[in-house]
Amino acid sequence: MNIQLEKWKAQCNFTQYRGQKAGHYESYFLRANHPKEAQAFWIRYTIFSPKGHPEQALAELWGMWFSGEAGKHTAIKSEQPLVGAQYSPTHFSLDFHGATLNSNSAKGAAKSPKGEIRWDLTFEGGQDPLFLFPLSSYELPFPKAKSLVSQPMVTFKGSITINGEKHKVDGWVGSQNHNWGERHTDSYAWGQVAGFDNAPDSFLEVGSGKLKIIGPIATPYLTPLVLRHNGKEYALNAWENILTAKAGVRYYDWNFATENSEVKVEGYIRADAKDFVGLTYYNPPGGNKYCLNSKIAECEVTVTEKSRIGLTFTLTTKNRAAFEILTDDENHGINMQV
Amino acid sequence: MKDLSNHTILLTGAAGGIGLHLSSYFAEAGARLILTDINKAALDDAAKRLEKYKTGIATYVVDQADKKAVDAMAADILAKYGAPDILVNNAGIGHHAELADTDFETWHKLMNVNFWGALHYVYAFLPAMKQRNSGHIINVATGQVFYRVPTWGAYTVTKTALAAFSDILRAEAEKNNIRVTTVYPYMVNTGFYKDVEGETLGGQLMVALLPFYSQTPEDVARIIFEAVIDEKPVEMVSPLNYFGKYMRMVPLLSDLFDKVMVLGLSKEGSANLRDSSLVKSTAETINTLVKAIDNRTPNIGFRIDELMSGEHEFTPGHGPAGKRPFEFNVTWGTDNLIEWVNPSSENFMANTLEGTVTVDGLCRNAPCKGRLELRYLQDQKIRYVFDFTVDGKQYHFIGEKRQIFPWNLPWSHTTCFGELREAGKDEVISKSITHFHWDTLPDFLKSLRVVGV
Repeated sequence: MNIQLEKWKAQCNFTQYRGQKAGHYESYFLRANHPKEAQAFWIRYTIFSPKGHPEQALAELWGMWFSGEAGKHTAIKSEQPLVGAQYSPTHFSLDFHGATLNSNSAKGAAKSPKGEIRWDLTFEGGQDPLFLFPLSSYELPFPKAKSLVSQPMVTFKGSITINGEKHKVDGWVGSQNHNWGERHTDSYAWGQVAGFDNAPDSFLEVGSGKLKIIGPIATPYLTPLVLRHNGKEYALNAWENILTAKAGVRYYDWNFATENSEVKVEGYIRADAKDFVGLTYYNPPGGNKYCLNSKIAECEVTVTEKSRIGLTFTLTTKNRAAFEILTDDENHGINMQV
Repeated sequence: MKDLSNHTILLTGAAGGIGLHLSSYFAEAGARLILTDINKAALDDAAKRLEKYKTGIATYVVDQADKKAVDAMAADILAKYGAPDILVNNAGIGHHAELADTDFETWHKLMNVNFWGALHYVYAFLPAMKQRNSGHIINVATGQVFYRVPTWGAYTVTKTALAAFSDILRAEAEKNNIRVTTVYPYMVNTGFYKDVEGETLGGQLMVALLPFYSQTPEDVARIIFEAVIDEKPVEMVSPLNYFGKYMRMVPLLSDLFDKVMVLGLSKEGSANLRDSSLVKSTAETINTLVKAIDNRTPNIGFRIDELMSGEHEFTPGHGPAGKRPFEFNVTWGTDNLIEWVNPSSENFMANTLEGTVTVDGLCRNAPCKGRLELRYLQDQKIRYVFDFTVDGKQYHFIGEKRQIFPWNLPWSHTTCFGELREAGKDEVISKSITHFHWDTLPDFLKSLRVVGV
């Protein structure tokens, strides 16, 4: 038993926010795809605390609904003061002014003048938590932004109601996630697949981020990747893998290749511009980030095991991938809904 | 080099580890493969992995402990392919426990697979090999045959029997032009040693350092393959085996090795250390001194307040689903510090405990009372044991901070794995993991106080 790992698995959903003045964002999100159609939901509960002004901290609720067939996606956000919201550093239970989230259910609504998204969901099953970064980095100041999948491959049941129109959710597979930090990563692409079309039990988590070093000078893309397939975990998230992986991020196409001594994984995630929603993320140090997000993206990943008994296989999905680009660039071409 | 094209190789335990890698070497050499294993899914996966070598592969799912099943499979193989040119008895299972803790069911299982299983194959194919006047049988034993490491007793005994069988068979079958090779892999990094981890200091060190002295299954498979090609009677595989072999010829060294292994790998090693005559006499001397001091010193003790908080989950049927808050806020300590620091005392580092417990879904701030044992030296644990009552029903909690070693203190010393039962019953009704949160450290330290002055 690796005690450090067991500890992190047990506390991966505990809230990290302690009212710190350095600035803080912390997001719990749920996402899942329709078992067959190009439909997906994405629900976020976010704590935002601007640097130097914890008294102005916000409890944000976000509801996003993607409908590839209808060609219409909805994104709604509501903001309320964090004062009065409940969260805990010692267990997982959120209550943002009546919107609740715990280890197996979520109920609430995001409302704005544009409309309303309500959710009433339960979820169960799933795999052990997945850590995108080396375990030690969750306890160190670097990187500033931490991200993990608390419950990969959970199955959702319940409903999502968009402006009074109720959509049944039954057997949708997705994940419950948790990320936090003093500031958002300067720019990144992030992707996740909970069940490929040809491997319904496989799970992929991958990111490519650039960090500014001095002024406009930034690192090349740093790319951690973890794939769970056929009971095996291909974890390419040691620092030497993260630093040597290759990635190319464009609008709206991202390819990546990473390897260690045992395995090589290469792939891409892409989506049409029409399948994105544009969201504005407040950044704790100040300013905003543009988040371009699709939950109905295409993904292909080819895995080559290097040993003499290794297999080569390709996992694909037409529209079950989550794909997010975070950027400062205003000319991203996506309509900003929030 | 022996040409293996058009040869038929039968490998047991071929679905993973050494067996699968060894299969790949034979496949690469152009041999036809007959792969057997008890695990169908893994065997199918193995066959898929070997497809790229484009050689004939047949698979049989069989429990080699079952002679009838092996005989039926052998009849089918003999009818379809004839006697294999090479039989590799690779399948085996491990077991890590002291002999006294190994029950007969385990003994039978180990013997049935590791010894009888191999013999089932040999007796099924030996007559046809003799009739053909050719064949090669490879029996995979283990380097434990030389080391005989305490805590691996039953496994070692079964493999030693197989090694002896193999050596005698070599001499007897030579007249029929049948080669027999005995191979001794040792410390192969296949996950075989995973269950050793964490149980003892020696186990932790052994697993942590495994990459530095172990061999990979691929390397071991290559060595065995080359031994087959060269028709070697014995393949030691690991240079470590030579040390083990010759060490056993020096009684003093052999005895010292066994003692160190018992201390490092045995769960009772620390206890044995405490029970040794030297330690006992030292402890008695300390005890006498301590008692002399104790009689002249007023009883003093200490108290400290600790808050452990986290989550628990009811087992099915005992409460609502999902993770829920679990917290115990307790004061622990001793009234007799002299006894507390005396290693030979029964109350060495043992404390009384009192406070409140919250088990969401069951109770909130229920008074609890029990004991806290700092078992760093005995089994590297801190154990919280307390009882509490809810609506007239008594509950019993046992929580442990586990595997407390100097290198993992920040995690092991702050994480408590707990089980809750109704008092007097075996069934666990809730499992919890609670944490000592670092932001409570100042309050924890400030709360330390001396009592009885």
